[in-house]
Amino acid sequence: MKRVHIVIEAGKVNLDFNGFPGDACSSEENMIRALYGKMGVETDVEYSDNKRETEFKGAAERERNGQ
Amino acid sequence: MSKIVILDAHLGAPKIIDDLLQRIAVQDPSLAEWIRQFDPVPIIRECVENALNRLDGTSGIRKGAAVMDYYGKTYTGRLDGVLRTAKLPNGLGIKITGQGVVEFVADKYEPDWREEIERLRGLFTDSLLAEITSSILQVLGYEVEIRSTNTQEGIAYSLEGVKQ
Repeated sequence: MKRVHIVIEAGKVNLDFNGFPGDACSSEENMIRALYGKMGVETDVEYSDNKRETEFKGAAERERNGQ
Repeated sequence: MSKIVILDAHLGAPKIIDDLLQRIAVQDPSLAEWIRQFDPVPIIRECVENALNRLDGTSGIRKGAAVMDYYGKTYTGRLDGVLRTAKLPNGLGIKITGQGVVEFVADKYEPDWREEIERLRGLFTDSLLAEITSSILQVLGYEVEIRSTNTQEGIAYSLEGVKQ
């Protein structure tokens, strides 16, 4: 199960991805930002918790998904 | 794995972000091509309508029909929506250009009006961001729930997207 929890307030969009295997969080983020651009929303990355994504290379998700 | 990203977002002209599309195309060429080709204007119009309806009746805001200037003269250009409050009785107009750019129309003569215009622009922008985000998540196959909460700053939107 892939989940994204998003909070929007005062022009800030806080995206919290959970349950994505490996680098899939970044792929999903890219798709969301590309679609934002196409829909007239300009976005600048103010903070990105890349370390959380790459630290374990998605091992827990792959194990959970039987990969 | 999990990841947190905070984006600073503001409204602008719809555009194709080539470097992101190239990265998407590596994994999903058909989605990248679809993003490149689709016309966003009808979806933006629908999102603007939903954002206006969502704000109607909250934070002292009512939808209006027209924007007037200091002298009571009605703005005659095309508008896609109007927001009105007790502090801004002449209204803040919202219009969508043919290219999908969202623009605002209001008389800024009084300092109190200027302050209220900025507040309404912020509230409308967040409401529109919530609607656009919901549409994007649905395009990507999520089931989406939106909740809104009144805060000291204004209104916070919380979206929960789930997909298999």
